[in-house]
Amino acid sequence: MAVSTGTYANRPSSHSAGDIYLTTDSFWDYLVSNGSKWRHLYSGFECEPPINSEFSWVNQGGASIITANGGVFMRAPVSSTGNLRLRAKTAPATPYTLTAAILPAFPGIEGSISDTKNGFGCGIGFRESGTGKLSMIGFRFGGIGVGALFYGLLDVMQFSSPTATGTSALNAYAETLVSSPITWLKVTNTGTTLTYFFSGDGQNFQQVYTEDVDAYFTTAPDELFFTLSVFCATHDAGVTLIHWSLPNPAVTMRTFGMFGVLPSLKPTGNYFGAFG
Amino acid sequence: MAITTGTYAGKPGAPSSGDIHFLTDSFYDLLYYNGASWDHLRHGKLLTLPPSFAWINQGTASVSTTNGGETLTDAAGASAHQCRIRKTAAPSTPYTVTMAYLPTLRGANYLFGGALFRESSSGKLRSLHLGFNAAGVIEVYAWNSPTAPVTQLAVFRSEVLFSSPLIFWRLEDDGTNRKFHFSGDGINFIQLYSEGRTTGMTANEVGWFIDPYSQAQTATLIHWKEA
Repeated sequence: MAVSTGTYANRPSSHSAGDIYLTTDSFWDYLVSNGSKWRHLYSGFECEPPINSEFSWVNQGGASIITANGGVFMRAPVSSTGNLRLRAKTAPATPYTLTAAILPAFPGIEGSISDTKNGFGCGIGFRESGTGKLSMIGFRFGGIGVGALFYGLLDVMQFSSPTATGTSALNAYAETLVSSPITWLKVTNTGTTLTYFFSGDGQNFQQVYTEDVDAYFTTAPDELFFTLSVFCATHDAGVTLIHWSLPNPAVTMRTFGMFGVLPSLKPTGNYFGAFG
Repeated sequence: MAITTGTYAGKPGAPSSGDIHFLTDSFYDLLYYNGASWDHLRHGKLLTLPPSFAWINQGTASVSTTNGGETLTDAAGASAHQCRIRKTAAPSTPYTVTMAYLPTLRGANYLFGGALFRESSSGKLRSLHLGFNAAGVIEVYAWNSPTAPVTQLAVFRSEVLFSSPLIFWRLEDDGTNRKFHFSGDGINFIQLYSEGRTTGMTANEVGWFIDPYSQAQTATLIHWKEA
């Protein structure tokens, strides 16, 4: 077993099972070799780094990508109208489950947002290539309803296009997510039902929304995407995708928040307390 | 190569290159001995230990380095703005200072903590801080002194930080402008505010601080890198 350290780009191309590589400029705690590939570990969870070349742009605009550090960092410039910048890829045959982890970096603009749901957002979801419709779960900073105060939100949002005003299928305040090192997102497509989940620990997910596959989509989604949305004339935004996995559909478990564990509470403000 | 586990203070004193020390009382994932010093790693990033700072307006505050990093505490609370500042000379322009800290910060007015520019001749400050001002906020603030805030230059709600394991803050002076940035991944930064480098003050010092206001506060600086 060998242990070495350095930049992500300089990780050894030749390695043996049990070797450990400690990165100095990346997002994972460390890499461990299984003899054929580097396993990317984060807080005891094995991440699957996204492969940027598998994705294509939808509504790129001035957005750009950086992959030097292992994940996929998307930066999107200011926009005075709503624009979702998407990296999309063909979905596998149903049933499937997509799990992702993202690190957002967008400012919560207070006082400069009109009541037209300006703000920022990021997340993962389904796309129907024939119609361009989108349905996603993610995080955003914006208001619930016209004239509302603005909050950090965990949302299920649906858009007729990347430039259309979205509608919320679910709104949930996001403050309760603060004690997890990262919030994991998951979507499933059984062929008949689309379901949206989040998790505070990456292992146990809580369902937040579900609907028939053709409830919003004209027929069915055939693509998956991750996105960064910008509706702000003054500030750029960024998001880093560090995990993108399409394993078998997972069994969902409900996790109740307690002291000393990572909360996976549905953050609806009044209805779920932080202490279960 | 040797792998050990123990306290931060108990890390091996005569390690060999490639040795690893797992910590039982610190903030870093592990230490890796590079042949000359211990690398401090957290979430895949090499962090840099803070330098030796000097106090400004220490009051009842204290610091500890027992667990690694620098822990700044004011247990008494102040019932007024009392920025407890740790400062050092600013690098030559152009420069960036990137920091990461772990606040133990209650949501109560007006508890702040973060990074700052300082002009030594006047004592004026420009802070980039996390705190509570009627809501959880990230603010850029102008101060005439550690006890005299003047103007809120920019404000952002802080809920959007929830899904990153550690937020990184960056001060930049490019020789023309003074800039304030943050990052969710520690590598890619988003600018929050910019002004002329002589607007209101000309910084020749940089530092970090807590403002305990009416409550006790603690924060630990785990990364401070000048470039």
